[in-house]
Amino acid sequence: MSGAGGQLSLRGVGKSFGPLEALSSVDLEVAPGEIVTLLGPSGCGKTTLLRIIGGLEPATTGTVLVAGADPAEARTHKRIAVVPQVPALLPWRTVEANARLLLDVNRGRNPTGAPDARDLLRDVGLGEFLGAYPRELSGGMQQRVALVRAFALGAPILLLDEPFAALDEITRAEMRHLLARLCERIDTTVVFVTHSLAESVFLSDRVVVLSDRPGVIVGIVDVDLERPRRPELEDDPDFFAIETRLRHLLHDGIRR
Amino acid sequence: MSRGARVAIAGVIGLTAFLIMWELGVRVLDVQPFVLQAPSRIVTELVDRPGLYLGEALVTARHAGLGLVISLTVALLLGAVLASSRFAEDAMQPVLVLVLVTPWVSYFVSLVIWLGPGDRPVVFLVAFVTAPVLTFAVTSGLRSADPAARELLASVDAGWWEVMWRLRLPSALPTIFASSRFAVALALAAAYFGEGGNLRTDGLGYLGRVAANSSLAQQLWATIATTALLGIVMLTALTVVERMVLRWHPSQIGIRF
Repeated sequence: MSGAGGQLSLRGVGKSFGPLEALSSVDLEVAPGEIVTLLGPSGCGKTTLLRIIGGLEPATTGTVLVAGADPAEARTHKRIAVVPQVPALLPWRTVEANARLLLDVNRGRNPTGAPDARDLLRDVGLGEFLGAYPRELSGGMQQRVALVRAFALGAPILLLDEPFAALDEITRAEMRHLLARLCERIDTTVVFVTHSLAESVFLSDRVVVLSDRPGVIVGIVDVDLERPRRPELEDDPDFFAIETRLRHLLHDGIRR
Repeated sequence: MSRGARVAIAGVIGLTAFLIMWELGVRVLDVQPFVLQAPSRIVTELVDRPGLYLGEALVTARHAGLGLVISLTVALLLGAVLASSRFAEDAMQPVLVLVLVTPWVSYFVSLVIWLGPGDRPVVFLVAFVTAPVLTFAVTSGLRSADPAARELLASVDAGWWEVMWRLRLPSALPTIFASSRFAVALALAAAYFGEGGNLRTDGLGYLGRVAANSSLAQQLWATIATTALLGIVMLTALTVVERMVLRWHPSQIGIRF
């Protein structure tokens, strides 16, 4: 589905909020279908960078191309699906209606060949909750609906902003395994923001480590672990080795 | 026993106790008829002439109901504009406060002269005095929409109307319903007063004014009681609609703290 439409290109991207410099000279190329994680300390501009890619925030300097277009244009054409930090489900819509929310607005721009929302909900174990309201779901189940809502759009690019940050450790592990499964089934370019080393290694093809503010790229680590990623992989020595490398890079970025 | 049954029984017990105390208070203290009538005398008056009070109550209900519909329509349109523009809100805020705090009793005669006798000045008064309350509710309710959901819709370039219809208006409904209770009470008071000061002869307010001018204390208190009953009917109808529309909201699903 992604094809050439899933390509991202960032050249010299910087962002300032008044006198505060949040990001500085970020250069990054993401290939179609690639899964890239942005890892960095709190306040390093990860979310800002994601918002710039999503066309929700203009860059102060540099250029961004999303699927060959300006981010605002990509947003208008529904080429980007976003999973925010909180599920942001609408309490008056059922689970199924929430999963279809992004398809129900700006309908004229719906991508073709999007996966069926109902099938996806069944796939993530919510088949019995199609008619339930968000208040009847646990935090993990609500975040699963938020994931399905994004995948159901069928956009070539998926942006996830620390979607599992509010969940307990066990649910969080389940969610990253589920996300990995969805990413393997649906060919989408993914940019994932997280604080978690385990999440970044388990999900990614590459991990981009950002420094403390102003965020600059201090290193990019290739994750050459076998796909599909299985939960057992998290006990693998290679997994720990990449985690250790990322930890050192993070510390280097903080001391910088 | 269900929660609904418990609420109903508690309400009946409370109301009965209040009526008994009222009846005893009037009898024991020998209260003047115009100051306060005993509930038994009000009931006797209502039972003696049910058609009269029912007919006039329907007129008052029409005045209050029509005024509220107009007021809500204006509040939704104005609230949508004010919620979308801080400048518009800042500009309108003093005007709405002025309308809210100006004693409407004082300018009703001017309305009758302007709009002529009949339904129009009464309906206008109801709409005019309730519009600020509902506009404040709509504006604050529309603003209360979840910022994360707003950004989510922005990420797929949802249009102004789509955001309004699918997110902001449903988010505003709990606030609108809560303020509507106050608006109903205000609407009935305005309708009763307007009918009393009108030159045409209908409505509970008119019946009350005739009673006051003719020293008919029992009739005066019967119009007051009928207006109160009408208020209970309107608020009950509002509650039923609220339960249906807001069945997803914590206020309707018995969450206790």
